[in-house]
Amino acid sequence: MNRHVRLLAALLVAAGVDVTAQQKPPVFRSGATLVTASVSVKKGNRPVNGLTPSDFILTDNGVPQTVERVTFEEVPIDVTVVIDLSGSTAGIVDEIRRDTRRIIGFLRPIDKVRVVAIDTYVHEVIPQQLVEKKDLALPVKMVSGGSSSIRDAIVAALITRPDPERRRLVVAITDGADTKSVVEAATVMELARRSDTVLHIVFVRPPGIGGFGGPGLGGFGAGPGMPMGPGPGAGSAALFAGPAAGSFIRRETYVSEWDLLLDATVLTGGAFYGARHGNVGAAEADAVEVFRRLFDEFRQSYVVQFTPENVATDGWHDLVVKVKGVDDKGIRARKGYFAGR
Amino acid sequence: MCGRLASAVCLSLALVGGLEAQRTQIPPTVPSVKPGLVESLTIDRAALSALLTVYDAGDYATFDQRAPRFSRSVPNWLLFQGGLTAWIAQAPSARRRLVAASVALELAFIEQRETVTAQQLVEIGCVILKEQPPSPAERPWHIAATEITRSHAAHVFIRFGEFAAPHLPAAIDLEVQRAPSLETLFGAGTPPVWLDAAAVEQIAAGGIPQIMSVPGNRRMDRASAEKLVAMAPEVMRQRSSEPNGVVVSIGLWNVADAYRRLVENDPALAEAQLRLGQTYVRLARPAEAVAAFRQADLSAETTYVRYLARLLGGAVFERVGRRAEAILAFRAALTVVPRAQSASFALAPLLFQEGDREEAADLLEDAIKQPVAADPIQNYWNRDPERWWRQFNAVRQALR
Repeated sequence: MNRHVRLLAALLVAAGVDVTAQQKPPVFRSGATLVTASVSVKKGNRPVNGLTPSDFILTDNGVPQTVERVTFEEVPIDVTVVIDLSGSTAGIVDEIRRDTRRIIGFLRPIDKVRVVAIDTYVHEVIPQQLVEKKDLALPVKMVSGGSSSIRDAIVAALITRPDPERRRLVVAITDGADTKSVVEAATVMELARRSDTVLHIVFVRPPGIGGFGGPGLGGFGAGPGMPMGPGPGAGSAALFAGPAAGSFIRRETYVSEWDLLLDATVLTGGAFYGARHGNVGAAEADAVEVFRRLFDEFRQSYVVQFTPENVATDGWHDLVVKVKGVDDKGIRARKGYFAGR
Repeated sequence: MCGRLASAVCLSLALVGGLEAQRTQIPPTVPSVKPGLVESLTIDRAALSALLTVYDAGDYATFDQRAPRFSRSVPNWLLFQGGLTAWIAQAPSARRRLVAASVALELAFIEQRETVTAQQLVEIGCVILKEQPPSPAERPWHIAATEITRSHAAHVFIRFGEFAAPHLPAAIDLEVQRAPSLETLFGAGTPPVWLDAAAVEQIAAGGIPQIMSVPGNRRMDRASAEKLVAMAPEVMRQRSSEPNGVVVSIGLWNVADAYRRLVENDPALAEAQLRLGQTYVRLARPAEAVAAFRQADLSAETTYVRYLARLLGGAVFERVGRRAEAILAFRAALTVVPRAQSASFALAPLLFQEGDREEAADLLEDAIKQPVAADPIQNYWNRDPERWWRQFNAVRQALR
């Protein structure tokens, strides 16, 4: 693994409660590549405390590994909130702003927050900063077009400068109608494999617009793998004579693209909340409640460390983490890591 | 070492430093927060009359200052048109009609090209001009009008017959009609797939049912497509949710031919080269696309064309797996429009995957910082704004 992960491990061990250290002295291997994984363990809704390395069963590309250290520490967290202020969410902008404020309210003084807004462009409306004042100024609305660059915004949140002292969490609150991104869903997936940021997506949608909210909810009768939109000239773009307003724009999001995006959240150890494609009647996700739960979970996660043995030293590694006596549904961890770079 | 295809980018990079700074007529950044406009739907006739008089006097500085206020009230077409005709009626003349039509055109540009409002304003101006016989002074007006709304090219043809200038808008109009609706920079979803002669023969061997079911993202050379159409003419009338690849291929070759004719007449017509390149992208001809983008870059006179030639060229390199050349091209694009989001978001994932995490993060951090840089890709279908300004100046010049 890279320098960043090694540093993160060292700092976490130094700052945290090293439960391993209570049982045996840490073993340092010269030239070893330490891998760190954040693991949330719950029974029902309650976090499971007091776990030791021997409680974890971990495989790397199917090969059992020895967990060397486990720390349980409330580390500082950098939170990026991605909010969708594009044309399709115009009816719920006030709610999105209010929810964003409440989300920021959960953070601690040691945490940092950044708010990135989506419309035709991606705007960093609140640069990353310590959460000293909770009432940060959020924009009323954006002006640069009304299209949505959701994937671009997620990429901007996933690609961050390494900071070994902090853990990173991205929460994207969006209706999912990406019409403008440069970045393709497959690229988001690829970046998710390499990023150490945990990505959560919360689908929201304006009331009464069942067909434009979540993935697959185009309301245009599209089947699996088919574009969901009606083609050029739809909606507001009908004002324009071109295939789309101004630039390359798609009013369609492929179901397969959505699936990739959703898979990307799971890969990072995150999740998505809200209606899945095709499920127009699904209950609305409460972005604030979702964030409160996942933030609690995230800050109370174990940091598990191991040195991979008998596996390739580069490329993608599938990671499976189990905990003795805990149902797999109660365990959340990233699904792998990318070694070599 | 730079490959042959990358040499265009290398050369372009070398050229960038020596180029004179381009005059940018569009705002370099995008405003972050919408001002609280209260739109008025009434027309202040006296103020409109004063605006026309200012324009007539050639006081364009004052006009530029006052005009945006009117652009917000022009959706009230009838009152606006009535204001123009009342001003003309004060002292009817060909010049007054041209002035009134030109003011409508100016407001159309402020309004936004290709919007219904802009099209309506062009129409109002055109109706005023048609009240008199065609004149040479009127031509720049029509050319500029075609820059605002491409469909006006047909009006120009009817009024003046064929002349060279509107051919590019006409070709773009054809491109608009034939370009796939699902287009993205990297063509995900339905990337075009080239069918070689053997594949076409297989389709032909399958007869009409096979020809009728060619997927919409398949591409072939014109002769092959025409051969299949000759075997199954009904494919041209086929009604289905997805267009047939045979028909799409013919349509795109028609677009390519339109641009090719333009660049044959004027190799320096950079925007046509640029669009020819993108048409080749849609035709699954990456080598031809890169060659056209290279030529567009070399002959570019505007930021718009130069940036897009590099950006779209980089996207082709990435599509064909030539990541190093893609990175070079995207970097070159960012030398033309620093912080532009399309090139930044294209480049950063490549850098990140190459292990240059810090540079990727820096790049995106800059790109999303407010105010964000205006990105030429947002104007792909609205054309080069700098070109419009040249036409627009020609209208003012014709009135002097």
